[in-house]
Amino acid sequence: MGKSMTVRRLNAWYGAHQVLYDIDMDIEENRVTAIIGPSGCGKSTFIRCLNRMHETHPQARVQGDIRLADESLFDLDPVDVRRMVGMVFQKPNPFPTMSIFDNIAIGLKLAGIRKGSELRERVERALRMAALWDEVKDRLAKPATALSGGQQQRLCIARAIAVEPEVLLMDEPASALDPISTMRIEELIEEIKQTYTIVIVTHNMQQAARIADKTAFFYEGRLIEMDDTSQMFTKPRDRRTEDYITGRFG
Amino acid sequence: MHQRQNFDIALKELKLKLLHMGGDVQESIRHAVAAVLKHDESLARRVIERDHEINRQDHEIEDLCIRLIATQQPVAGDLRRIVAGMRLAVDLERMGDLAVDLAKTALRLSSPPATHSARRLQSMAEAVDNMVSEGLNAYVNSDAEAARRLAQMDDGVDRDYRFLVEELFSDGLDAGSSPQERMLIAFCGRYLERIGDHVTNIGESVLYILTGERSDLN
Repeated sequence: MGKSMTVRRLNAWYGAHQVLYDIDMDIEENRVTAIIGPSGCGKSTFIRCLNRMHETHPQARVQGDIRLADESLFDLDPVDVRRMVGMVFQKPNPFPTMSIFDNIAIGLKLAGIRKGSELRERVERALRMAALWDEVKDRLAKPATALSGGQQQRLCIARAIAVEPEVLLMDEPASALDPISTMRIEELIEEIKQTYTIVIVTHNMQQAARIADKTAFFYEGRLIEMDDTSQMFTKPRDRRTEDYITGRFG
Repeated sequence: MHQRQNFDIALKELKLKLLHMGGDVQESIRHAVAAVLKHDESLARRVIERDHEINRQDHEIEDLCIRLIATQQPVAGDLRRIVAGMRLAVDLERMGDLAVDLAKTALRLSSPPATHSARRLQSMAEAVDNMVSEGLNAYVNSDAEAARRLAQMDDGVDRDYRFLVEELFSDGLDAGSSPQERMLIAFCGRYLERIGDHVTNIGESVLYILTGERSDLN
């Protein structure tokens, strides 16, 4: 089961430039939370804070608190945080020299799983969950780069969920994909939210409307409004949200 | 931004079409009432003939709304405007049908209504006509207060309708007319009262566009 996340007074900087201001957010477990907002509004920085990736940037700085269930991320080892809070990026990034199987097995091996039978079982389970198993089961030893873009992205999702994280962060996971592959990813998100808490950054408003339970609108580094998705797309409370989602700016 | 410009033009087009339809419906109601009160058969027939033009406008507005939903994926205020636009067109179309019912009743009547009923119908018709104007104004000017006022105006129409029926079926006033004639006059009152109800729906649609809240004006 996924866990909830609680963000309190989160501020983030790149050098002297502040990119996030006093963000408070409650991310519910086993729900899809979409983050929307114009380019440069801080949404990618925000989700990179959620698994402590932001601070890997040399000039980056973070202040505030982020909790995974009851535990503060800053009391945990960053490596553990990234195992518990997985990430899928905009462009599919499978390890190019590795086979389909090894792309998933590598994370499991790093997590200490050595037994061949267990590895095979976990790889299969992750691929099934990512709705990719039937397409790749006969060519697990082939390089991951032989897959289509959409398949590569589902492979990356399989890789992220193989280590059984609590939360899955997705940074525009379908923006480089064709409509059919996009639909597959969206269906997949709907499926896996039973097991994981999902936070997705998207530029595609209809995508947020289709898949997210909650939607948060960021503007100029601030969380302007967060509500049930149906509320946000029919009756937003803030004028700026309305103007953004109806295409008046951004 | 170019995209949004086209969308804004289409939303204006929707508004104009609804206003045009509203104007035609209002005219039909006026003519239908006049046909009853003056027992003018040719005017009644004209109302009946013109109804298909009102129905055509309803379809045209519905098509425009469907096209905008399909191509623009509207959200928030835009979405409310379009969905409410479809509802407005349906209410206007039903008001047009009620004008036709009035006109058909005019054809069934053998003479103009007797003085007292005529006065009562005239007063209802005027109140309904004011409601239609107020409803269309509320829509054009995004005027929530005007929309809310429709509730009180409708109460007045309902009251008039009750009086009309009570007077028709109590002995004394206009005692000369036949039971059939009285029934037909009662129907006319009923049609006007129903038109008032549809105008309150228009008010509710306007409030929905403006606030996103559902309301009950009837």
